[in-house]
Amino acid sequence: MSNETGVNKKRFGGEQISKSYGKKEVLNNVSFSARSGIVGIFGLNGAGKTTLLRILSGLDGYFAGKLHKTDFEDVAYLAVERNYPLEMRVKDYVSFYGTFFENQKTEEIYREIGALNINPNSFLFSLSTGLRQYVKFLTTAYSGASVCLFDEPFSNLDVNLREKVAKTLIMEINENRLFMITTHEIKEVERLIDGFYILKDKKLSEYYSCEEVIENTGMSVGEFYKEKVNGKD
Amino acid sequence: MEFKSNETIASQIVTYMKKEIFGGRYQAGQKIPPIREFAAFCSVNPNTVAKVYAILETEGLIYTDSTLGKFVNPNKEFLKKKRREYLQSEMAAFKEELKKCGVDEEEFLCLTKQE
Repeated sequence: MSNETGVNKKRFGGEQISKSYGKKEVLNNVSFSARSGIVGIFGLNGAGKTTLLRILSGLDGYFAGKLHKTDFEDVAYLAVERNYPLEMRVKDYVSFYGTFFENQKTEEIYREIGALNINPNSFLFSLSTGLRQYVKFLTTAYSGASVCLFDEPFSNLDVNLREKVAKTLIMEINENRLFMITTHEIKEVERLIDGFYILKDKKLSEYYSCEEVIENTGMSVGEFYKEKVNGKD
Repeated sequence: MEFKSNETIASQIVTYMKKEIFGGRYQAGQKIPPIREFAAFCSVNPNTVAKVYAILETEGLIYTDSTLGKFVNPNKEFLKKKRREYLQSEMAAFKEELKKCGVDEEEFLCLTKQE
């Protein structure tokens, strides 16, 4: 199945990416080439989703294979793990992030932060886990980067914040940008994404377009995923 | 908006929009929301809404003004005809469903009169 919805011919991906932690191989010859749009990377816990995103983000250089990101000049990454000191103030975190991305939409970030009555002067440690996660999400989504990698962007968020995350992704995506989202909560993203890959047994599946899956199999994206991830193949 | 998972989102929104137009909540000639705004309203991918609008446009229910945006077809007679066609096809599908319970034409008419 292929994604023909985007008119943009830009590509982002990698070739024969393999990665091991010591003797434990996590990714084996993963190759893919994604176009603009919102793309899911699904997989069970431990399938290697975070490992793959870290490699794609450029944070982890220890892997075999090649990255293709020449078409997209900048990559932003929303990590699950904490990647900043909690003693930072919100505004310092935002401006620090902004030093890496010249097209950061700073006003939008502060508008969203203000809408939740978060004081930009407050320390990150004073925010709840969910709000901190949301601030991190905002800096990634509004980074202006052409590729944004979101690792579990909905985790720790309440129903209102999850909705805000979805709406932000919808408003920020365009034909020049690629958003990749890892999750094991398919329900959360099945309406948002153009298509998805499944990471299983160290391998990345082909690209599945949501619409084609539903039309051709009569299954929901979630059902299709469950069958694939639990099947022998 | 609530969606079923095993029918494409696009076709569900097409049906929703047809009901809005045929039900008069979007009137002939009225402006409809821009793609992105409508996508955010439904929490769906903007490409999905683009596809919905393309389908509605092919059916002649809406048209695009390159500067002003998208509008419901201002031709009331055309919309009336389209509405009729839509209702007829819905009715046929409904009849087919009832047939499975052994409802024939006579009982069907009887049922519709009893509201």
